[in-house]
Amino acid sequence: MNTTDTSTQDPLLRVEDLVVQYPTDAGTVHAVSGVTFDVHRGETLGIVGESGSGKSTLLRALLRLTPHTGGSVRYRDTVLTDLGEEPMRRLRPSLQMIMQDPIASLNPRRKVRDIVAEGLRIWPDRVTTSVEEQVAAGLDAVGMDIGIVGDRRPGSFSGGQCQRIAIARALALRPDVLFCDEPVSALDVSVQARVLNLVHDAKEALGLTVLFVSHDLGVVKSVSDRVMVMYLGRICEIAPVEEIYESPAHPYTNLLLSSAPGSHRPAPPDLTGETPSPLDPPSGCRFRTRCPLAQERCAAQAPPLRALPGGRGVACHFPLVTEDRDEAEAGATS
Amino acid sequence: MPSGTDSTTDLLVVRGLRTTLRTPRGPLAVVDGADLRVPRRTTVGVVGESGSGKTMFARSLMNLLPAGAEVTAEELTFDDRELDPRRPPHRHFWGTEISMVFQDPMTALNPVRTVGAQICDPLRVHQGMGRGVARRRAAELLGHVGIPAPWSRLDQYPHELSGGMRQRVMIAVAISCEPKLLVADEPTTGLDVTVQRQILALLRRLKDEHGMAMLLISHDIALLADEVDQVGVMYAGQVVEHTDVAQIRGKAVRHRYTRALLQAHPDVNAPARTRLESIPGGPPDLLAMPEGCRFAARCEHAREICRATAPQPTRDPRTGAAFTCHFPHEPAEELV
Repeated sequence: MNTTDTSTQDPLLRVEDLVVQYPTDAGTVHAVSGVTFDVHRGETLGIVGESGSGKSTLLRALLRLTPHTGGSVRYRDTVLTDLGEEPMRRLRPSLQMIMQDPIASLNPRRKVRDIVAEGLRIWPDRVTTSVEEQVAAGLDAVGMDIGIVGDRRPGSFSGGQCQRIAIARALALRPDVLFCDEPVSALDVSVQARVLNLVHDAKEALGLTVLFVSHDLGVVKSVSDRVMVMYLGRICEIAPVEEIYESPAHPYTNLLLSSAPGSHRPAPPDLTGETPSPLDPPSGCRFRTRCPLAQERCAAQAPPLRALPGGRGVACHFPLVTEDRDEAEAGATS
Repeated sequence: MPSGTDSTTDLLVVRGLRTTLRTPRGPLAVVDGADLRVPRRTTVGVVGESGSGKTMFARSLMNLLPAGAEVTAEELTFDDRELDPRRPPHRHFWGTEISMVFQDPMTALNPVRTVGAQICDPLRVHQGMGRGVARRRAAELLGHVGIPAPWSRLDQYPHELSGGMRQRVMIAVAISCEPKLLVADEPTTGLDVTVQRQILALLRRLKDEHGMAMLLISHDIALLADEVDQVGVMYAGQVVEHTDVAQIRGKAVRHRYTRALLQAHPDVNAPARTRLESIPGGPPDLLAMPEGCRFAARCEHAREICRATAPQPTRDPRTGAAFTCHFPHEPAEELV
């Protein structure tokens, strides 16, 4: 199904009906329940949602760090979900990830120069000049001098510095896609800005495509070209960043935006509502238990993700933005 | 501080608070000369990054410091009573005069006791209620903090509740004895944004209904801009600026650090893909504090005097804001 105008350009990543479920003692966790979207070459797609929305699981499943239960992921001409271990491994240098906890994602016993060089030692075909030079260039790109930091170990750096080392490690391999899982949520605001700017600069300089998962709506707005909103394992809405923030189409997006500190949007009435358990998600639309607009149809039938004008997609029976093309265009021109 | 600073309007006056922890590397002044006033029935926010001393500041007020910690102050007045930080008042003081809501309700609540028992504790200890009366009051309090079916919740354990519900329980415990000041240390930090909004609305409602003052501590300056009347900005153990929230909202702040903090913050109302301005370097080592301004090493406006001499508190004649900066930011409308 189409969420954006993709007819003119092949997407870099095409995700179709991806499902991730985990068996647990308490029952099956429905972490990701059939999501379909495209990622275009050179864009930054922000993925936003609260805990239990499945945003991190989705990111990990795309990279096959978590087994999927169904659906497919295509990267360029390769269907990742059909791939054996070895061909998948050979693609990994192109698909790099930055994790949430910068300190835990670096080996505490290794020197910075070896941490950043590790990928290049495994993948000699990614070395264009020399390992030393590329490591120095990678660290330089994140504002670090290999002569000063090269022989130190992660323990002697702050969280923000560790995250910059992790970015240098990812960039040293000249990846094609950067998967960022809450890369700044453990960082102080003064340091967070620097990491966000680095991701953006690297994207521009290397022509990267970026998937950026975060719970922070301000952070997502500052980095994304398009934004995808998730709730309990499903996509609520996907749209260009300006449109999501200016005129949310899904009632959940509206609740999320009006809850964000500093948004000054009137809050819809949701006085005690909380996300239900992914062990037993509601029937039909998963947001209906908290939705001020919910009707009988919302419990009976899950709304499909359908296209709205302007390259948007929304999964709601009663969206806040009309899907009537003429009306929408008339509204836009008036 | 801003508008009206005579002692009768201030519930809490803190001047020159210094909290020193004992560490293997030597004594560590985690709060080092902090000044703050909290007027009655007012919410004062304290913003700061990790290590700025904001939590230790709150814990110093609550007498909840690790063993060996030492607190001194030039002045510490609560409700027109002079307190000696080295000789804590009677234990009934905490809970009935000042009480606290902690960041993580899972660790602040006792996991092996029911919610009801934990709300009854302060009622029985401080107010001398009997078992049955306290239990009835506990159910009332749970309803009051927005927990549905409060009677059935009394016998549940903290792990049976969601994070948002646990935080409501902790708030019920904190307000059970009607304190005059509620100290809330990052009360919504582990919570989802939609639940955060509910908890903040609850705190605001309780503050108004009970006529409490509140000290709301957060790392999120946008959250404070929504919720509080005044903001104290902490950096390296000191309150470097104390201003009305209007100056924060209008970005008309004076201290260079406050200004930098606002510019580094990803504002949900800013145009998409707005480039943020990061603050270079990191906070100073508390064991090797610089002579002059503590922010000087990271400040693009710093000059020789900033590195040599610590700036003295200055008052903005127009707004009443207090700040410690040699070369303060001049908000646009004041530029000549």
